Amino acid sequence: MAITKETEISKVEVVGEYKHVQVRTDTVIKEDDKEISRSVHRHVLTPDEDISSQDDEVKAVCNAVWTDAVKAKWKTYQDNLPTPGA
Amino acid sequence: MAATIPTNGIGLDAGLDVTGGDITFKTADKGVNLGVTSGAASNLLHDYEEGTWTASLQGNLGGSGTGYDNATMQYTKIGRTVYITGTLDMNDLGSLGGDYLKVAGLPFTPDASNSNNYQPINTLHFNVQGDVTGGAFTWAVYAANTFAYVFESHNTGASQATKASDYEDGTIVGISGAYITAA
Repeated sequence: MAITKETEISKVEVVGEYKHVQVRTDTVIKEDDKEISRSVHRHVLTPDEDISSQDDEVKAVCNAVWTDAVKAKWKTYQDNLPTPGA
Repeated sequence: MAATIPTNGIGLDAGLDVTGGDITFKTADKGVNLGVTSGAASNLLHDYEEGTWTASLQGNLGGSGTGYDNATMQYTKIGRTVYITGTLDMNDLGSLGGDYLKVAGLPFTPDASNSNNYQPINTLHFNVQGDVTGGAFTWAVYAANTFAYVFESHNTGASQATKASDYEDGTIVGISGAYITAA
């Protein structure tokens, strides 16, 4: 009886005008190659983020959708973000 | 072998009972229309997910060295609404730069429309400093960003942003709330 634990990127979604990249990572526990448990973890990447530690698949999506125009638009949005409560 | 359903679908006059297995849609964004007798986008329940996300406390100009005893939070997404719960337990504030605090790492992108600029999340903050007003803390999820601002409600006026000096190494924050997503 072999118990194994694997992580896999199960979803990479591009959302909204600023092209946020939503990443779903599944942790799968298997017994003799049969899945017995799966848990899900989520994180979201914005166009100004360092993606060097991301999975290659995620990097590829980010690099494809984060054009200079998208980055510039996001920077403008961030630069004009009001102070909390203002 | 599973039965093959005709390409024009199947009509059920006597309901549907499932005694084994689950119902799984093999195409993305398909779901169940509830409360209507014909399909409508506003009645389509097409998304449900349970999972975890990792919260982190940051200053608006960044930060480093912040340590946690727990930063793993829970979420349940039903349609376009994400319910988040959890306990953010800090053991080291580290260095937080800027004039106000935010909590990053939300599991889904908040809606970007102006009507959802500040979506409040209920919180309970322990071990905070400078809390001389007795005001309550709360979080507000901000449109299109993946963080929540941290506010303190003052008895003498409106809520205002909190600073690193409002927290200490042992600050613990319990949260519960929901926000509307972009999709």
